[in-house]
Amino acid sequence: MQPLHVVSRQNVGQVERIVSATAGGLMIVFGLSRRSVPGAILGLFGANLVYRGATGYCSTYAMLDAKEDEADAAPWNRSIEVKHAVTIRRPRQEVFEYFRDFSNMVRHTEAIEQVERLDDGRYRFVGHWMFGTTEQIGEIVHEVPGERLAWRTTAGSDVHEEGAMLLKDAPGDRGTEVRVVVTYHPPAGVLGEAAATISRQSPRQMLPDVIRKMKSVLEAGEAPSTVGQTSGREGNRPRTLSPMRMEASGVK
Amino acid sequence: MKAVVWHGKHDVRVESVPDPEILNPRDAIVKVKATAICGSDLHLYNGYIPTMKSGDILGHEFVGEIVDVGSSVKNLAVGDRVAVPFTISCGGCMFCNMQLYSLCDNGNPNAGLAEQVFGDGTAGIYGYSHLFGGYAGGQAEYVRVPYADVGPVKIADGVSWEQAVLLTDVFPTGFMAAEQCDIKPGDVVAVWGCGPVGQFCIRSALMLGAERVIALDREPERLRMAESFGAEPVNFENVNVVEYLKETTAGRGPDACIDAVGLEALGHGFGAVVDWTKQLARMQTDRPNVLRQAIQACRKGGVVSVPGVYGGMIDHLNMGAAFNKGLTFRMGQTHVQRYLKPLMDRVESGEIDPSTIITHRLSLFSAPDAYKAFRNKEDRCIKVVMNPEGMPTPDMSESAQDRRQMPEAYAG
Repeated sequence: MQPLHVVSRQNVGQVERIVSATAGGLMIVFGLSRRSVPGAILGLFGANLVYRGATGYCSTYAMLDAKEDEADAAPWNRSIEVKHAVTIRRPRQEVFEYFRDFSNMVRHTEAIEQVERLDDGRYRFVGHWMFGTTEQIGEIVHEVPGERLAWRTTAGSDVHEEGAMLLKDAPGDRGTEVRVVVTYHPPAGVLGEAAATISRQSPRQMLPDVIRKMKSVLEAGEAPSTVGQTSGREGNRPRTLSPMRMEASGVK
Repeated sequence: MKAVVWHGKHDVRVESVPDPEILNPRDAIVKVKATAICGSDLHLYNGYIPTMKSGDILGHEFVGEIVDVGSSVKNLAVGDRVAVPFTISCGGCMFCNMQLYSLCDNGNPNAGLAEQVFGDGTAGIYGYSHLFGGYAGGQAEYVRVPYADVGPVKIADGVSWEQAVLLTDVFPTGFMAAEQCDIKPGDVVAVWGCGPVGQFCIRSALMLGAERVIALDREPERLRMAESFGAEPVNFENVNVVEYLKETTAGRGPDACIDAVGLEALGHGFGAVVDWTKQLARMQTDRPNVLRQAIQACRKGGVVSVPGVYGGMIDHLNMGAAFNKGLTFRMGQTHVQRYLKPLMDRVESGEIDPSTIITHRLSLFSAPDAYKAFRNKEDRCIKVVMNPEGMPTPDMSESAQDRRQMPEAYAG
């Protein structure tokens, strides 16, 4: 549940407050123990950090106005908004119909392995994300055929998201301008997002690939791929080739 | 099958790898009949190109026979002789529709990587690093060809394998560079670099009506070849290039200047000019010397056409000269699909025989030696074409000593 937004002078995050107060305390102790001018300055600086940690207000941040937005939601509750835009050289209606049929997702989304149509506008997605299998129930909440489509996940989903797609004719015969925005709620907020980013599975990283592949399927009938192609890497050598044959044919 | 596999700088090996398979409905499998080493392959060989992985199969110039097609490929049949463009392009995106095939939106599965580097993704290229898709290349017995229904062109009966292999990259690349010059009667064209692409720039410029073509290089055999095609050879080591070009055009400057060298001296399809640029690099800290000379020398309002490959940032380019002289810059990877068929028609009619630039005909088995010779310009090497059918099998392993000989059937 989102905490109520309380208007306050606070502009330092929770974790940062603890770090700030602790570091400030250490600096006071260390600074005063020196019994010198630099030590005293260090102690004063530490006192400011303790004040900042205790009150959650930082005058520097206030001047920079840097942390105001991020302080709105607690870090572990924060949602992430991802946007991507692309031009697809196909008629607007065709793009809409392809996208509206969520069972097409498996064709252009690596993370989704299976899509089951529950009823018109409701789908069950099974895929893999981060460390395991995920399940999502998605429903279309708003649509204007050929123009816009909005969806969200419902109860029973492991990861929650809302998304919308807007379509517009591109100028000339350039096809359709597609804009997609997805807001997702990573487990553990910024921590989950950080973990996803490190494993290259943040929607921020994945959405452009998904949209690019969708474009390829629509424009070329298939997405380009090299998965499963031959190479000279270990694990991709023919096992049937005997050492004798390799030697005879001059293979090192 | 056997394939030329990249393992690192100056380390290519002929190895056994699994045969390629159809992965997508629009794929085809081609049994390679001739494959060439491109000057830009030396870039990989010398370890300049990032995103190569040990185990990558090299080669983007190849021709051969169709042995298998995917379910969506209706225009090709098993047994067809085809020439395959080095650019992998879908045929359905905005850029393919504009015939700008090398800018295809859907040819590169790693387009996201390219977007980070160049701001946009461009077409895939066989065997040319993961930045360009990470596709297995054609210096192999077999190769998988994506989007086979729009890329490969059937080879006319009168055109040989080795003529056709030059239509997959270097001839179209040289032709496009000359076409970009908008040559008009009386035009003088200067070409920097007389490797394979430079040679085709020269021949194409003359074919398109240039009055004079001035060829700049320092390798005697390359200058001789340029002269044999009708160019005026100039050894850039003996002259001040800009002064010479001004003098020989009575102060006007060449109407068009072609940089067939590139930043790393790895102009596309460009050969041993590597050493030339290395030498220049020692003389001056920055490397776009050809581009700088071209800007200074070019006639006011002229064209600088760049088939030579550039990879990143360049310093100290006289933009003021380019601006105030009203120059036009034209460049890019070749839109091979646009040129392959019309140029093949010219070959079939006998107007031009591209195979005259080939200096070395080898078995694919000698690829490691061939790369070395091409890089070091040993043995007057200008263009190497290799034949996978010359591969020794266990039954004929004793013939390894004869591997520099080409089977006679190859020439036809």
